[in-house]
Amino acid sequence: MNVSALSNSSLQKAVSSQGLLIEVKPFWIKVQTAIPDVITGIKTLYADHTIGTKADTLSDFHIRITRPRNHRRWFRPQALFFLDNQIPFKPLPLAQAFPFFEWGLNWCISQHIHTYLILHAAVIEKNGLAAILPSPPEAGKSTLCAGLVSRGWRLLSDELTLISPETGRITPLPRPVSLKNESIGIIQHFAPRATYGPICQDTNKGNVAHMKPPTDSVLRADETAEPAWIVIPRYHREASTRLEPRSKGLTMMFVVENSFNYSYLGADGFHTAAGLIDKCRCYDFEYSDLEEAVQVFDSLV
Amino acid sequence: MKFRAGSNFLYHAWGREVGVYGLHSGDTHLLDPLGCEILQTLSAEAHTYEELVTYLEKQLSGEELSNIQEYLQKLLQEFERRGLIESVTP
Repeated sequence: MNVSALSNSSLQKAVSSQGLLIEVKPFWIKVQTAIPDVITGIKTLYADHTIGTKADTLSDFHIRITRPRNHRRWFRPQALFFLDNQIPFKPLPLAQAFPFFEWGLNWCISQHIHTYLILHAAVIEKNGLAAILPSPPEAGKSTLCAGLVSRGWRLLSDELTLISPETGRITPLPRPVSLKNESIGIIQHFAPRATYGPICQDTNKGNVAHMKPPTDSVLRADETAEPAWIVIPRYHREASTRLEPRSKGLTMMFVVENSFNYSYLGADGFHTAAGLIDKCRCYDFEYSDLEEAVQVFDSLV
Repeated sequence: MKFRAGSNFLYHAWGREVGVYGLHSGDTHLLDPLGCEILQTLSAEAHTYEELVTYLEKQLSGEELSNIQEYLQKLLQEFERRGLIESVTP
């Protein structure tokens, strides 16, 4: 059974009481909240994700989003994020509760999971081959990712690329794609039939909205992929579309800098990252036009 | 004065680029093949600057030899800055 099979009242009852166990492969997430925006976000953007019904299913993360019990419950209301009953972050405005859940879950995975080498990168797949898009914030990674998965590429992950040290393959983590500021309008125009959450304004990243992961991407989350390309994107308004080979050595250093747990993994991290570079053709990619960007990526396959 | 490598290292090469991981420091570096060879030499045994020059003169030829001392001085300075090697007094 998936989230969409629950009625609004059943979902609200489950999430606001004992919590709802959602399979966000490869993890189980228990979510507890009575905040309407978070419940709506889960209903809309995690619609295709499986819910746990077995009493003995353990969650990897127990996340609770609540309103404070002090005056900030009512006056300039805030939301609190709990992980296993601990508060790792300062409160955020209540209106940002759903993005808070997403950012918090990113943190939970990137800081606590060390069975994979985790990169700050989007990753997409076609014909069994994965293209990894690592980049610092604001470079256009998520915009490009959203555009490509709207044109036939499978979403493996928008934010966290999970690489198995044992096999070197990519494990999918299909979740809502986070869009910011002008990219919201760009992608809504590019993919008008996709499902979007509401625009959340005035976050510390500007305006934020989420695109629901394609159903196919969620249903195929057990299918790992072989990494084939590392493409470092850069969005520039009015830039010509350009794909340029880049050195493997410099790409290795870039990957290291954009990994959450490379240092923690030690020698295993080095071997995993180096093995990834061995497998991949490496490129810099500059773009401003998504249709042209899709054509370039399609030509890689 | 001699130089020696301050750690054990892992190496991984892509053509003329070599990724180097310091097992004690946890730092990752990118070297060229000659720099990598110097580091491996200093990992095996401490050497003076003059011994390294002699070693390189035997490895290189022609045009590569022309700037060898300047190259080695800069390389050793960079290695020390990055914590890859340390100076030892015999």
